[in-house]
Amino acid sequence: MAGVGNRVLAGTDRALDLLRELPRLSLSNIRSNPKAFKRNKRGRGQHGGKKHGAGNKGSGQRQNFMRLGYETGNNPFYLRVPKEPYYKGHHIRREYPPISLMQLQTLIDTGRLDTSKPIDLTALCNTKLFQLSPFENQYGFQLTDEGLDNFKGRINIEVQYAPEQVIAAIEKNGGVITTAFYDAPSLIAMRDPMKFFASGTPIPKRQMPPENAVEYYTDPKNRGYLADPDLVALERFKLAQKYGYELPDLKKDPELLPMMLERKDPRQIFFGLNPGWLVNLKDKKIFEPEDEQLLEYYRS
Amino acid sequence: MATKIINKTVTEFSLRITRCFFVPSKAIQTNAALFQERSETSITNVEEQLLPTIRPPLPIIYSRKLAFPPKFKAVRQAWVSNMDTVEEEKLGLIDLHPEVFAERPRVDIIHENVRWQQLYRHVSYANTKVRYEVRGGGRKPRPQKGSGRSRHGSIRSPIWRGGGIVHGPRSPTPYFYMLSFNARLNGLRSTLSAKLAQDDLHIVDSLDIPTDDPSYLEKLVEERGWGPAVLFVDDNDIMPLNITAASDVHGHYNLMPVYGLNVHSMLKHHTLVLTLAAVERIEERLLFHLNRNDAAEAGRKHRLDSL
Amino acid sequence: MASAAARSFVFRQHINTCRLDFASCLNIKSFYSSYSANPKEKSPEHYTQYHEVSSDNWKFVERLKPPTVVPSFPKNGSYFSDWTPPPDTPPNLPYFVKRTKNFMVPVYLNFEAIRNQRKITMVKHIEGDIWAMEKDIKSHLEEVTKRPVVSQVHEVGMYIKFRGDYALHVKKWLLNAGF
Repeated sequence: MAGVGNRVLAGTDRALDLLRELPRLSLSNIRSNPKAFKRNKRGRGQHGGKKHGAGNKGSGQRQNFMRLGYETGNNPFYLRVPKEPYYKGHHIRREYPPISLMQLQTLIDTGRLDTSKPIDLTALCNTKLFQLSPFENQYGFQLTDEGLDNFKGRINIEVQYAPEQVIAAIEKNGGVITTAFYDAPSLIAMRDPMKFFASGTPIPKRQMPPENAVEYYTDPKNRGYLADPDLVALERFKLAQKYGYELPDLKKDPELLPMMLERKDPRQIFFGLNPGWLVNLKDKKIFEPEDEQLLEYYRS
Repeated sequence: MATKIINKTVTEFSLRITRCFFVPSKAIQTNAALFQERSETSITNVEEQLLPTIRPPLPIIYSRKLAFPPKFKAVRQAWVSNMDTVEEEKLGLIDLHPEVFAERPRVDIIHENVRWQQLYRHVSYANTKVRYEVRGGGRKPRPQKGSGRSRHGSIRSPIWRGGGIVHGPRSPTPYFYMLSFNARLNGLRSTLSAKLAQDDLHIVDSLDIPTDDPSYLEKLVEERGWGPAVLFVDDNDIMPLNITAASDVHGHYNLMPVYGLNVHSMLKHHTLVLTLAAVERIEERLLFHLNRNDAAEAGRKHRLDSL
Repeated sequence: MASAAARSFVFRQHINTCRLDFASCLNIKSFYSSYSANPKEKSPEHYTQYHEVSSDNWKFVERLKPPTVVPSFPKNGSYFSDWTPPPDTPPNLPYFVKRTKNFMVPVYLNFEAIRNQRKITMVKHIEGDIWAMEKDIKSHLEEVTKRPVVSQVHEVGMYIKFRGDYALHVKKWLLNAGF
């Protein structure tokens, strides 16, 4: 790099120095990289030339083929071999894009995630490092155990799926983990809250998980948000015994305790904001409906 | 062109002070509004003697706070001149961010940008008729067999003279495509850097000139050795009356707001003149895009398959 | 603004009974292609009354705002992941590798298919004497892997490519070199 009087010219500085001696850069002396643009050569032999790969006479050259898969009369392969329902219902299956504990630790180290506040799906999406597409059956994030041994963050995190060893790793460091379900309209609101508020739609009510997910989210072993908190506490203790670590007492840190215990209502999607509220970003106001039917709906 | 006035831009720290610095005033954060305090009179009749401009002691500005201060790159510096006298008076020296004004000048990216600017709104209206569009040709010219001549179905088939054209131009053919966001961003950076390196970038405090006479601008440009074509860039799109009237006569003096800044115009005009406000805005926008949190969002506007 | 807020409280009758599914929720706020196709605004008695919620709740909306610019890393923090912050002083070498805007080391593993799939390790954002850097990294990689390493130096784009998956080795080398 060029310094004061030290003319070590390389790279950018050399290029700029060269420019000072060269003629003025103009529309007539700029050029693309070699082979950047292919010349459209309308030559002979286009599309294969002469017979264009179609051969002589017959159904082939006359483009009158038999249907795909037909084997001139014998039982074709696609009918002979029975199909296996490997992918049955694949379009209905929920997907959870993974976030490893190593990535989570890097986010905490680089200051992209604020550990002094609960980390939920919105916080993860606000880093703009993870894409979530509810339109492609993605229902949230799951934590994977890559980087489990070096994970040292003390966080209150809410994800959609976490295996047992990841739960253990987080709780070992004095953190709190919850698994929660969000339905697709709630996810659309959560992944870009500002865009959602700007659309003028009231905050939706989070729906209950579908039948095949109820068991998962009511199980205290998975730290489900619908599980009994006392059973969850018991499971925390049992997990500590299983993995052989001393379960940190959350009460020892009274400043962090309210943050660690901060949880959402099963019908809530944003911390501190109730379903049914309408946020006005421009005037910085929040409105609540007064209609009884609406209130009953949002309260249920 | 070899005898360019060297003391316009400073890449090494060898300052050539033409006007001696008086007792320096306190460092002022650059703000275009600060320069309104200087008394100026706009004279319509150029034959009247131009009143001398009254100015506070120089340098008026000598420091500028850079957003995202560069860690290891040398800051570039440029003089700030005036527009209210024909002769150049340097009002101060400001810092320019190297990420914007001392970026590697990628000529291939500049070419990409120029090509894109020329092509993306081009629509070709050339048209040829296909066999079913050419008038006539619905009837079989002669029976299939018996005449001894070749068989044909229509007199307008492509093998006939006067028949339809098979793969000819079809109007209107758009040539729209979007260059990627970073290619456009780096095009601007490269061009600004090239302009500064080649002493074709000048910074002025504002575009207020004392008279609306076109000859004033001509004399000014001639005196300072600015190229035949000059592009004046300001932050606001409503320019002062005098310079608008003066530059209106000549096609080679053009005014442009910052949002219209583009690679093609910068290359077409020999000299680029930026106001301080324009420099602030350009740096603010380009540095924001270089450091924004949601980089993926930047390129999302012109996707063909959107989700 | 108030009428716009009132307009958006339109709900269909059966919402409180059935579960909102994806498609039906989108219909609540749908944009029709033309003005005339859109449902017209009704008189105020069709819409709910509303009132403003206490302004103490605004801080929860502020919490949801993402940062506009990449946030700077904590300076005196302890870093438990592989990541180390960029140095305050550059190393005394004839070249420099700038960190990305996310403060990461610019080493990438690409899969380029020219005739067959190939793993290519790429180092970007190089400034200075690129040939010297290529020599240093190449000799280090050959020492570590005990195999010849094929590389490409692109002087215009200022990047180096190595054929093979050496991403972790190159990253470690760069961090040790002090970039």
